[in-house]
Amino acid sequence: MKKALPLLLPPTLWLTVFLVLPTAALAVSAFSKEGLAALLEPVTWFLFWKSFRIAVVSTAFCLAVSYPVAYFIAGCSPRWRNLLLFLVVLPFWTNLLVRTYALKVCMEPLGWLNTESAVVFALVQNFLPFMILPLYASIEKLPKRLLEASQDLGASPAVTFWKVTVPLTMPGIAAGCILVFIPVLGIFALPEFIHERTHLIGSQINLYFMKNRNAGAGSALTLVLMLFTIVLTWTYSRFRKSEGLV
Amino acid sequence: MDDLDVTLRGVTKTFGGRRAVDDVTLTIRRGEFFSLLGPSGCGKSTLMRMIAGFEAAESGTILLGGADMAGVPPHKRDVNMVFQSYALFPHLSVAENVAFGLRIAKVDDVDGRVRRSLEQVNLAGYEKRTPATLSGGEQQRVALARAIVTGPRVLLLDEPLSALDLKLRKGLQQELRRLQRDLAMTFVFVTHDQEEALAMSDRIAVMNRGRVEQIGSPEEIYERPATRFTAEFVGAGNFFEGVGDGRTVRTNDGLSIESAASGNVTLLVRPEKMRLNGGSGLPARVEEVLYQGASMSIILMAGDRRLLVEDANDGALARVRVGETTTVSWRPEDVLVLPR
Repeated sequence: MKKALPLLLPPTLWLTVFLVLPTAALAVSAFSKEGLAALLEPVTWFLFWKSFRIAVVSTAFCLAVSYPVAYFIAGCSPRWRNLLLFLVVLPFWTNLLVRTYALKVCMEPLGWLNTESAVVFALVQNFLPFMILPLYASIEKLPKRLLEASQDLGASPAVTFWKVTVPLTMPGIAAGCILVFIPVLGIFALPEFIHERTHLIGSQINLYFMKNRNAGAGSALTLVLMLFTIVLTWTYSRFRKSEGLV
Repeated sequence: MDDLDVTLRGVTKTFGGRRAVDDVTLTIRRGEFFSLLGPSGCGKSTLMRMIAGFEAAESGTILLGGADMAGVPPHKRDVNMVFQSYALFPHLSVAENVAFGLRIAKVDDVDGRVRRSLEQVNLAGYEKRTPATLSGGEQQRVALARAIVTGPRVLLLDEPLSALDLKLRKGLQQELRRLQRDLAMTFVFVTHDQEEALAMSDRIAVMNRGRVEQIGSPEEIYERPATRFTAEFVGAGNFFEGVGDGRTVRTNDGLSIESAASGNVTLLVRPEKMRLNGGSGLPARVEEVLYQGASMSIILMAGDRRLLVEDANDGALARVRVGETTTVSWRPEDVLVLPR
């Protein structure tokens, strides 16, 4: 125990300085007159709801697009797999703003710009790798024998997919959904590039802190968002434990 | 035709230019315990996967109960398979694993059927366990229960016992045989273990390099092997190559062995048919005595020729000492003739 102490010191310091203290400061600032006032504003809850809705829709589309892609990659020969995974990650080599501007340029002639669906599209394409990679990891681990056993017992390929493949890749599905849902929930800047009126909770927090200089209101909204994501990840980790897979 | 469950005619399958299954023709009768026996890579597993529908035959016909299976996907074939690696669904309980096929078939009384099936494999009370908490032998029984519960026409077993230790394997061999008799179900059993095949099967097909070498009862396979491969793969043997004139066969190292064979032949004498005695016979020197508990193996050198003699450990061989000279003899009717 004595020997472990010096080893524990750096991470403890790090977490204290960069996580515990800022969160405490945030909480203190949130429980202020301005903070409570912001929480009583109907527009705040409208924005929370709007962000939640867009995050759910984007995550759902992301999952629907990523699953076939991940399934296909997992079925390729190792050489192709590496190449395809590289292509999946490739967009990260370009800055987010640059990518979004490029998307804007593509959308403009189609007349698709300035709609909420265009925002969802931009979010989906931006967060695809976060969904594809965990899905790929769990599909790739799926023993082929189990799919054969299912078909052997009379299950058609579709039934096999729903009764065997999906339940067994649930850890990947859950991980991917969390990795997409949480950042999308608090996102700002990207939606406004595509559609100025798509003002979300992240944009609102940004507005309070940066423009209105209302730290109390910004902190209160941030704290609520944090609590929500903590509950979400906690549920997910409990689910993972009960599943007993991984 | 009615009592035939599986008919294969000229079935061939190539993997990367190599013939994994080469022109196999055989029939399996209803209620038969039929083994596909051969070394690894002989095509026995591929052949079974073709019956299950996981591999397509390049040429030839596969009939199940008289119906051509060409183009019929695995889930529409009335055969179930017990996989070597068990392939239990890790996300389902034992009961749900067994119920898997029943739920798809939408039969009634699923719970009752699952319970009876688990009783048949001596796993009553295991319903709520998950596969991860079971031993290898228990997992194998669940796989078996899951495969028999839907009452398939044919049960395919892909080396189901090879991952288990010897004692467990012997016990499961007997259980499998009893289960097969009770159910009167056709079992197709793939194994590379010749003892297992001899002990369990009604008939055996010995396979080598994708081809069927011989089909017959265990007695026929062991006592009257049709080829040298079968003779060597199923049991040990002492082989004598020579030319026969109808009364004796002369080997190239000068031995004369009494046999009615003529022409170029290989003679086979099984080790347990050979006797050591002090009287007349082939003179030989004791090279090695291998004590095996219930039996003993003695390796002899007769000139440059190595001979293997096996006998029950009943005391008669206890006096044999390494280095001493003895004679070895056998009855003429124990000499088997193989074509060369």
